[in-house]
Amino acid sequence: MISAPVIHRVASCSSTNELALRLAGEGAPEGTVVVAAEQTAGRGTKGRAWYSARDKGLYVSVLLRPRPAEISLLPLVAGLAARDAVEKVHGLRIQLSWPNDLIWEKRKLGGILCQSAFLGNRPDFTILGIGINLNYEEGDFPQDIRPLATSVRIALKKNGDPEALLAKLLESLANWYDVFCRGEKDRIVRSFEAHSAIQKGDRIQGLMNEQLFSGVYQGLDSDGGLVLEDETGRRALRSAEITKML
Amino acid sequence: MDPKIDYDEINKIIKLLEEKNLAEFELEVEGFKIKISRNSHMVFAPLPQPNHSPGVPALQPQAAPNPGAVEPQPQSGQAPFHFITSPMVGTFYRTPAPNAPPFIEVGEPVKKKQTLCIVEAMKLMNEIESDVDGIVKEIFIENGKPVEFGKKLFAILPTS
Repeated sequence: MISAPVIHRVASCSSTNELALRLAGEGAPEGTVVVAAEQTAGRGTKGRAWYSARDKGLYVSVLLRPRPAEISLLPLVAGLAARDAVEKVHGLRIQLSWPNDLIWEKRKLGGILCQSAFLGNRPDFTILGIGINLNYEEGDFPQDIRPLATSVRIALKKNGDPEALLAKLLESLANWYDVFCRGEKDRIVRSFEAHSAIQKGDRIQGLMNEQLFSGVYQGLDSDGGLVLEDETGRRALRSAEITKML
Repeated sequence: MDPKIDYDEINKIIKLLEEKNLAEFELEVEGFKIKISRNSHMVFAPLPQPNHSPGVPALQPQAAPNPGAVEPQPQSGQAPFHFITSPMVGTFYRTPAPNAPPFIEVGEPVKKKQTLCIVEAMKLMNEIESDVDGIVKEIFIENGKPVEFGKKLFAILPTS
């Protein structure tokens, strides 16, 4: 449970996850939060960069020390919390792209990078790194991601409120983390499905272990895996990336 | 007690390993233990003789076809290796990034809390650290391959 988060604010850092990793290694408690006005080397999944200009986004990492050994639902937990926060503070209807990108009008408004450490088979800590595009104009984004990215400012024609968003995000995350700790996996999975950017029956294409796959989305299994149906039958994917809808 | 080795039987086991493409075979019955690995070594180890079974023969290490590769054996009752298993279903990565060198190689020493690999699931990057000091003796999964929950990832020979 995150009872009273300890928030570390920095003007600039390489990445909030990196700072949180260091704090975790030094024994920082659950609920430690790192917020930066800018990241000089913000990271996404697969070693990709997360563009993180000063005061243009909310860049935050939260340290958890989960007791349940099965932690693979935490990326969904982070996505649900971030979605709730943006919707409640800015009134935007956000969808989730499995496992946890924040999507508004088919463009990416936020992304999540989760990292954890196990000592042998025992979970030590998990860091939920959340980046939400707040005050970017379209021209602020690097050329290559411009057609794919969006922000609160682009959606609302006015700047977002980072402080209100941070407060709501931490509150929402505490709630969803309680649900996770109580073992209510089904509630997490069903909520995610309800807000998914793709609907059951949609044909999707993606990458798994560098191999292209396609099939029909059939929802999530009880562990949050993406259930796909193709000519070989049904299977649940854990390590895959949806690249497009067909 | 004069240990008798049936080399025909051993050859059959070796052929079976080859046919079934198995990496390792281990059999332990009272007072007798045989372990054959297709990597580089073959190990026979005597077990302590229980007082109530004086008639059970014990094979001697020098009886192994490849005695030069006899591994250090643990004390009675202990498994020789400490195994690191996957805490979840996911994809196994030996490197921190696609073009980076591996975290660790077979034969290298490892310290407690040193990262051995990443298991990725649902875009959650799980760094698996060793919970013992030791030497990495085997890495069971190839980089980028899927792993199941509980699957052996590393065999570590503890040094402390």
